[in-house]
Amino acid sequence: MNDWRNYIKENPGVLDDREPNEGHFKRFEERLNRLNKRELRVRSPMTYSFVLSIAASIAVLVLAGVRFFTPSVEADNQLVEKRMADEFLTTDHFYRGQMDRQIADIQCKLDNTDSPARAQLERDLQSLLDENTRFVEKIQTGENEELELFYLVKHYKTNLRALQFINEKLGKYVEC
Amino acid sequence: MVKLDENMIKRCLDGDRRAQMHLYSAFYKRVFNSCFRILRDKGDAEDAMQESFVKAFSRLRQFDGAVPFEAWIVRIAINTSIDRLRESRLEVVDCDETRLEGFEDSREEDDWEHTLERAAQVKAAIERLPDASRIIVTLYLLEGYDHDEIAQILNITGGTARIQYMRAKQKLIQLLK
Repeated sequence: MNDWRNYIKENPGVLDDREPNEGHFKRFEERLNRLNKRELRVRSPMTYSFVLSIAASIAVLVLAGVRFFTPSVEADNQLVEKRMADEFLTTDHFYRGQMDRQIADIQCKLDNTDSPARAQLERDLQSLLDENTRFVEKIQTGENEELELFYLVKHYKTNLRALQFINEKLGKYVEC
Repeated sequence: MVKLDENMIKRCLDGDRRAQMHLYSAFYKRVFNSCFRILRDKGDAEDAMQESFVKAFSRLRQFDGAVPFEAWIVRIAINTSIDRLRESRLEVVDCDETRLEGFEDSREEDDWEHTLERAAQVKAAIERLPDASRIIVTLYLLEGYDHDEIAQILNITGGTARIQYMRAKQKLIQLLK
């Protein structure tokens, strides 16, 4: 195995035998041109209505997380010995990583703006993260692991779709 | 490995289009092939490759020369490609590390000495692996990352990376028989 890896290391060209489709240089240059045009728009402040729509998207996410799964009063009041199933933990870790990447990207875009609404958006993102933590903690009752896992995945996929939407929307104004 | 003219970085940072295209020209093939090995589609690989160059240009200030530029941009490309694949279908899930027991490596050296002579067959066999196995094998054997680096890239534990690699390698050896 190590001999193979060393062979590849010493002969890197042996594997890099594919070429992109014809015209890729031109396409890349066009991509850079589009990028430069977008950068000119970065300096114009985000419109108030755009900021409102982003904030509304985050608010919907937070509310959806609260309403999506509300454990029973009995579960809340029970003395719960929380056995953290491996699968639940690793699934949570996996999706949390994806969420963190999306949020880091959004944060990077926000860092490149000077909009006064930036602080509000950052607070809203933090609310989202806090809500996510609360949701994950609440869902682990240990009563039905399969169902908990199902709701966990559903919850994260909803969050990720929304974050991607926010990221793409911000991306029209800001490049990062 | 192509050496990078230090002045070129500064020119790229200044938005010098010629410098940017020169960098692209120097490294596109390496980056493209890394993307293709993960994405298995020329169009997607080109998109990921170009996105990686754009990311690299925007992060050039963070490039400190601790690793060669080529290795740095390939890492960006691999992360970009894996993110893209994850959006569509890839799931590499952590698993019980005690499952390392039972995997035997005793005859691995014999297998790989023969393998050196069959680079083309190995490459073809890797391309036939399912996504998750192909990624792990590609990252370890072809891109040269160690298990801990792979764990970081795939956001899994080091133990899982080792298990997944062993399973993938066994599948690969089966395909080569």
